[in-house]
Parts: sequence; C-alpha cells; structure tokens
Amino acid sequence: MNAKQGAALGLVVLLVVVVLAASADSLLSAPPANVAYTVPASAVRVSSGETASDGTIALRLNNVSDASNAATSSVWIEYNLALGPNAIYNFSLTPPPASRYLVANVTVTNVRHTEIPFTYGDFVLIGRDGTAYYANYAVCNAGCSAQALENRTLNETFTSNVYVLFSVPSATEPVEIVYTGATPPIVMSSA
Amino acid sequence: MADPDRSRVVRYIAIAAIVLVVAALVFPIEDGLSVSGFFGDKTYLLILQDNDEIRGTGGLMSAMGLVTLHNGNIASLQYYYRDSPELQALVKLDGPDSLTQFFGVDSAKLYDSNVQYDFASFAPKMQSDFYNVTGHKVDGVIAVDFTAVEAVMNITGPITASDGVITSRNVADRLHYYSETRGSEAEMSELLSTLTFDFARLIRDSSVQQKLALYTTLQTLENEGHVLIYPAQGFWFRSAGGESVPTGADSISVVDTTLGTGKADFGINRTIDYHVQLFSDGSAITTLTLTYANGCWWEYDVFSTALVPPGAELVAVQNATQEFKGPLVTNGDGFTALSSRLLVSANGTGSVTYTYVQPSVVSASGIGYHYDLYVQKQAGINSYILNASVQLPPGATLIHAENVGSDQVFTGDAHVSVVYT
Repeated sequence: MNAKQGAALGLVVLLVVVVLAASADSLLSAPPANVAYTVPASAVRVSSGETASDGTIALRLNNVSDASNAATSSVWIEYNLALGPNAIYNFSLTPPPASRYLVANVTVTNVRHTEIPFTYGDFVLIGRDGTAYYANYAVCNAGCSAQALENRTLNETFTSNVYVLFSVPSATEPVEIVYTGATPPIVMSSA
Repeated sequence: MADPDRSRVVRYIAIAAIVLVVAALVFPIEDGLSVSGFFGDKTYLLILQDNDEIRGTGGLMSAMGLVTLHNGNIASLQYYYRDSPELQALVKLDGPDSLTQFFGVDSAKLYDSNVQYDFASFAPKMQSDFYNVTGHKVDGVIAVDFTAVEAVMNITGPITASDGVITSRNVADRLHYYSETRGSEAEMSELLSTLTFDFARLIRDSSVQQKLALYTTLQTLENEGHVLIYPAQGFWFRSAGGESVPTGADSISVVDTTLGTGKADFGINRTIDYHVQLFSDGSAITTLTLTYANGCWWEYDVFSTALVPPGAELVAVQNATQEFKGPLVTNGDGFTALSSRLLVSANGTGSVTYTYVQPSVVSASGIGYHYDLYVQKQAGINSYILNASVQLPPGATLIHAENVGSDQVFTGDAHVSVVYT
C-alpha cells in the first residue's frame, strides 16, 4: 500500500464514521413517531353530549377543553385539593415545551349493575391528522376517585364525571375521544 | 518526483490515522461486549430515579431492578418497588453533613438514602447497602431518570400494556400513578420489565445506524446527568458526577432535595445568578442568588445546598420566599456547603442570596489573568438559567469572556471563563 492509498483508505474510514455518526444524530433529532389507532368498524359512534353504551359502561363526552382554560384548571385543582392526603399525586397543569394539555370531561356510568373494571388508561384522544394520544392522568370527585382511580373498579351504582388529561403537541386539534375498554370501543366525537 | 522521506512520513501518518480510527471503534465495542456479559455474566443494580421529586443523585428512587446479562441477553430480571420490605429497610447515612445536621438524621429507608451530592459518592455505598439488605452482589449500579426513559421510548416506541398504551408522552405520569396507588406492582412490573427487555432487544438486534443513535442518545443523557453508571465503563461512560474542579478555579454546584411537597420538579424553573467581583490580589466577593419559580398550583418545599470552593467565608444571606430556614455552613473534602430550606408559594417565586468571600480564584499564566467558574448541574435537573457577571479588578482590561451574560439556558455543566490583563 503506498502513501496515497493509505491516506485514501484512512479518509474513507473516517468518512464512514462521520456519515454514520451524522445519520445517528439526525435520528436523534427526529420527533417520536406518531402513534395511530385504528377504530374498528364495529365501534359505537356518538356525538359530543350523547350517551353511548356497550351494555357494561355508558359514556357521554361533555366537552374537551385546554387545561389553561380557567374553568377547566379550577375544576382540576378543586378535585385534587378535595382529596387532601388521599390525593394520588398532584399533577401540574403547566405542559412541557411545544405541548398543551387537553382535558376531556366524560360522564361515566356503570350500567351492568355489578362491579366492573375501569382504567382511565383506556381513553384515547384522536387528533385531526389521525394521531392517537393516550391518557396521561385523570381526576374526579373523592367518591369516584376511590373507585375509578385507586381501585380501578366501578361499583354497581357508579356514575360520575371523570376528567381525563392528554398531553398533545401544541397544534393538535381533538377530533374524537375513544374508550378502548368497551366491547366494541366507544367513539365520541368532540365536535 | 516524490521525496521518499516525505512519502514515508505521509504513510506513517495515514497508518496512525487508521489505527486511531480502528481503536476508536474497537475499544467501545470491547467495552460494550464486556458490559453486556460476553466475557462473563454481569449483574447490575438498575435504579429508576423520579426526577420530578429531586434528590441529591437525581431523583426519588421509585424502583430498583436486579438484572443479569449473559452474552448480550437478559438472563434474569427482578424489580423491587418502594413499598417492598427490602427498600423499606433502614440504612445508616454517612453524610453529607449539611443534610444530617440540618435535619438531625443519621439513617434513612433504602429507597430514600440517595442523599449524597453526586451519584459517584452514592453508588458504592448503595452497592454495599443493597448487598446487606438483599444478599445480592452487583458489578455496577446504573441509574436512569424519567427524562431518560422518555428519550429511550422515543427510540423503542410505545408499549401496549394491560393498562393501555404507554408512550414517551405519558410514561412519566403512568409511573407516578403506579407508584402512588396501592396494588399497582403488577402494572409497574409489566411496564418496567417490558421497557428493560425492549431496550436490551434494541441494543442486540438493531441496525448499526440505530445502535449509533442509541449510543449517541445514551451519551447525551449521561452527559446531562439522566443516565448514571458506576463504575465508569471505559470508552462508554466515564462520568457519574462528582468530578473535581481544577485547583484554584471557582465553582458552584447546587444540590436540591425536594421535601414534603412531593412530585413538583416538572413545574420548577431554576435560575442561578452569579456575580463575582475580582480583586487584584486574586481574591473575590461572590453574590450568588438561587431562584425557584414554581409553576405548580401547590407549594414547593426544597432543601437547597450550594457547594462552593473550600475556604469560602459566608458574610451575608438574604431570602425572598414564603418560609425560610438556614443557612447552615458545613465543610467537606474540597468544598464549603451553604444550605437552606425554602418554601416557595404556589405559582410563586422563592430565592436565597449568599454573599461570600473567596481567598483566591484567579490564576496568572501566559498573556494575563484567568478566572474560571465551573457550574456543575445536578443530575436529574433538565435545565437551568445562568446569569453570570464578572467584575474585573480596578484598571484591568478584558481580553476574553465566555458564557458571561444573562438568560443563558444550560442542560449540562457550564464553564464561565474570563481572561484579563
């Protein structure tokens, strides 16, 4: 190997390393891939303000609002404070950079007349571009919180408003709230 | 015609460059293989630190995992949670004096014993305490905080768990929820185990490009104190905090511990105002203000310790916060610690200002006098604002200034440098 070949080989190796490192960097700077949720054809669809049921749970989407809305934040804080030492944990309403918090107010009713399982983690917010955002946290009054959030079961007479919070990119407009815990899933239009 | 001597030199340089490049590639691979258990099984203690409830080493220890790696695969994995008897065991504290004297304590539950000023000081004690409590010996201790978990999930993708889909956007809240509700060990276990196995699978099966992305991500997280590895792993990770500052230089390291108000650090913005007045004999008077802007709708209770160079003499302290206790001045190996407890009102701001004298922070060499300030970021903190101003001795002329100014946002350590004649 002569000097020129050696130098050329060295440069090629260096170039490969630089290209790999650069491409790794571009991977890093990429935002997280969007998560999609495919609504099954069998899903129950209702408009905002209407009640839908799968025979076990009945849901009505009352509204979806930004957590910066005074009334929304007031309700959120009121429910947290009312729980006192029984609060699961305090949730700040200051969203991370480039994000906003949307809160869905949903009336949840047990129509099975026996204890049923429930988790707020089954709520999904679908944005206008079809991206799915899964729930971050939820609050409700003390009686509801003990069942729906602490024990994750709803007793036979349960009915309450549950406030479910989603962290979404700042520009996200909500289109639907889906409850995937129902069979079939319940899709509530937020319009 | 080419000069044969010149050609030989060029050839040697080319060979040296190739050797360097190959070494740069081979050493990390060798280290990686060793860490992954290819040269003998390796057992690590994984600590999940909740940096929304900040502690000296980065955050409240929500869970600990005992993982054994064999030929790049997870041979066994067992998680312990905050409520488990092992993590509830009491262990003796060996300091720091600022905390033990301020609160009059000499022991803590294992999950709450990360009170040292940095992970490098804490990890060997944790190795020993963990062995005493569980009987398990570990080769190393690895801590990751929630910021790191979110960053890793941006690469590994979401997890479909029995409790819904968990993404980088909601993972921290789910972990909070599981750790604060009774009987959630199964969900926590499912989430953490899936994350751990996904991560190991990604390391093993990913393309070269993905491996590089992962490696670069981990290095960034490590540089910013979100992933901490003890002991250092050769070319992979070399820092677990606690690095010494060059002798004669100025330094500041703020170490916070969130107290009774629980998880709140996602809503706290920290600002360090650092004003130093230099004198011709090399001494200085420093005015350091630590400000906490609380964006939460509840109070923020923090025990704040500023580590400054040894020999610093506190001459005044002021506060502007809802409630204040302190200051306590203690001395350690290579630092003076100024500690106070601040209660910051909901959606309010709290601050403490220390004024202290330092005998010598200026060095003379080369073209003039050098003043260097090293700002060490606490592990777990995502970012802070630094306002740094340096007042030169009368008659001095500024030659060079770096990172002097206002509203500088840092996600890692910072170095303020001033040269003058």
